[in-house]
Amino acid sequence: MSTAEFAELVRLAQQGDEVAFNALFRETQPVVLKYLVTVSGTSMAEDIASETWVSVVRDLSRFEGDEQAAFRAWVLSIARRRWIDEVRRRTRRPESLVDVLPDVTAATDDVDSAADRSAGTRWALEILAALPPDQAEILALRVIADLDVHTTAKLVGKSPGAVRVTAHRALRRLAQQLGGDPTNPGVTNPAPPTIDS
Amino acid sequence: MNEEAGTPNNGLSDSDCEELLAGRHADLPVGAMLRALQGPIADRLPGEAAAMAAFRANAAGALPLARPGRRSARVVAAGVGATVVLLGGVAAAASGTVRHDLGNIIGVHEHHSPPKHAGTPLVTASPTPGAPGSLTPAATPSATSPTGHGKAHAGHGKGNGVGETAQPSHPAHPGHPAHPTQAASPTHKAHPTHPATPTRKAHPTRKAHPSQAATPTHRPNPGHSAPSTHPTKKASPSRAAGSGHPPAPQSS
Repeated sequence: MSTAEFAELVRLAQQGDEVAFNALFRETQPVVLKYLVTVSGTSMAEDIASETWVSVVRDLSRFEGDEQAAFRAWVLSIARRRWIDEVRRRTRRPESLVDVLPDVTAATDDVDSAADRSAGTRWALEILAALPPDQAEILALRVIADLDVHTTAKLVGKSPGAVRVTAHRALRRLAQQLGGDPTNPGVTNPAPPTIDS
Repeated sequence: MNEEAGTPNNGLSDSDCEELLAGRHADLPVGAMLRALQGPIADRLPGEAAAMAAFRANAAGALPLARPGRRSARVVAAGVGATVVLLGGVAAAASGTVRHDLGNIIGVHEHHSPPKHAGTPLVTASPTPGAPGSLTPAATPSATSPTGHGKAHAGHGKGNGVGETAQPSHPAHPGHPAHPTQAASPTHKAHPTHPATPTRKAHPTRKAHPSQAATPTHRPNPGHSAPSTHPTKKASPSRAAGSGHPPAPQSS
């Protein structure tokens, strides 16, 4: 989606166009969910995502920007605030990721392929979530949300240098865990990533 | 950078990290894992119905806070109102006048009936000129206002405590008692160890003149020892005039 198309989508959604808003939601919600699964665990992810979108709907008219990355960063900043609020409320961090992951058994034309891809994503999310929280969050923002260093730094309230260092540490830790083979049984989750390239 | 805090880097250099984050090196285990992160989390999007319902509700105005500018409009309206009230108070204080009807509204108005608490001689204007040992409340601004800014009509027993000054149109009423709220002010009670000195007595043959009481250039009597003995009391022109003290000679 080009910048102009996305800007038009945002403009229509701000004017109340339901189809445009739905398109924005479908573009952004997977990123929001994966980010929230990484930082908060799946037991909270969907609830926080719902609260996030209510806030997005409320404040959509105030959003200024025409780039998809800017919109994604804005939505993720809201999701992060909702997550922090929820953590303060619960004052605990959920441990399990597997129990409440979204159901992938819905009927589609290519159930196996979708399930395989989802399984690979879930496998990767579990590994990511096993990292220290700050490393997991920054890596999620850099990789899942595809945000640059400065946007990530602004979102998490760190300096760009700190974001770089944290991301590198996270990658090295991942390399240490995964070794030479991502399907190594010694890895946290042995589920193989079956990804359509 | 081969080692970091005792953690081996497993062959990942800084450039490798940057390329991994850029989506390259998918052949490496870490690269494959990062690529897997970008796959779909599910074939359906949970929360879509709720988000669309929220969007429709917002469009229909069912989400009150969703309306942009509503809250800010309330804040602006409250700010304007507060500013008007503040400026009105400042203007009234600066001009030295408070309308009587406004005084009635805020509870500070002229009393022509004897107050219930006017029995104490320390706060009641002397009904009979020449009564020794009497202090009129108008003599001390701090007696009429907790902030000490209020002025009162000399011998009139009136003071609103919000910057009201003496008005020449209201002549001094020597027999008019003090306002009970002024007399009963807890912040200004007669000092038990400070008896009325002869210099604070109302002059037996003189009545306080309102213009003297209101004269801001009127200096306190240097011989008045009360301010030095009471920390909350300050020498003021209205004190000397309101108490029937002989006014200082005016330069005019």
